[in-house]
Amino acid sequence: MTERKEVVMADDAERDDAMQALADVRDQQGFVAQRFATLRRLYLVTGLVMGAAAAILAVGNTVVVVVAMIVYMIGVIYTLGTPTWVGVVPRDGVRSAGQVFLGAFVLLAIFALALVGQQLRLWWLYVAAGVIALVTANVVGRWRLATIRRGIVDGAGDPR
Amino acid sequence: MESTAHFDELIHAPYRLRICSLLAAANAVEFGTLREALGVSDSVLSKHLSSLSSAGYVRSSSAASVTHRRRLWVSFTPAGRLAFQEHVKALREILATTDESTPTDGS
Repeated sequence: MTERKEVVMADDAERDDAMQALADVRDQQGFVAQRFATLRRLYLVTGLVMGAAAAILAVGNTVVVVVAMIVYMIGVIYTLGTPTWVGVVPRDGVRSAGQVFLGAFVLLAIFALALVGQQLRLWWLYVAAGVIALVTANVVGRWRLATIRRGIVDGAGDPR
Repeated sequence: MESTAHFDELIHAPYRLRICSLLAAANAVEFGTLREALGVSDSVLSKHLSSLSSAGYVRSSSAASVTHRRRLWVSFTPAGRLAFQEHVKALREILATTDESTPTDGS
């Protein structure tokens, strides 16, 4: 009887230890996910800057067009890349590379649309491109975040 | 690669388990971020990283940032990532087996 009680107690201790260890793993995943959550504000800011860069083509000045183009490209890099200030490099896979390629294609196509608007002097086209750039940068950025989050959970073999 | 369950004493130590959990969630984690997550000093973190490195589980590389400050990035080796996944699997198996063996009331 005593022997059986000791075995059950040992099992309980082992179980509690394993449970605590898995809870620790989940906590650390939460910490990493939290580091990336700060990027949501970055996407909002880059979206606004990119939208403004597309809409400012209305000015029609060559210098403005060149500066807007550079600002927009920096916005694309920030939306699709991972800033090192987060202190974590996410797990990238084939899905992530495809996502970056598709995101870059869509964002650059929007700027091309704004340039067409400027060439044809259709003011509503570059204003529309600006609004679409703002929304798309946020959508693409959050889509990247969702993929990064999946990578965080997959990395530990999902300790649930 | 399919991992099998294997309880790893080296990984299971509390701080090392937390370091491995952080590394498993990413490709690389900066030394300062690890220190912040664990709330330990540089020397304590270095000691644990050194143990994991000796086992061939982690590697570190230094890279310059835009501020020209060198940052140390720590990452899992393939063997380390596999060992951690096997360890997590072993922990889940412990939970599963103890759940099965725990007698229920009235049985």
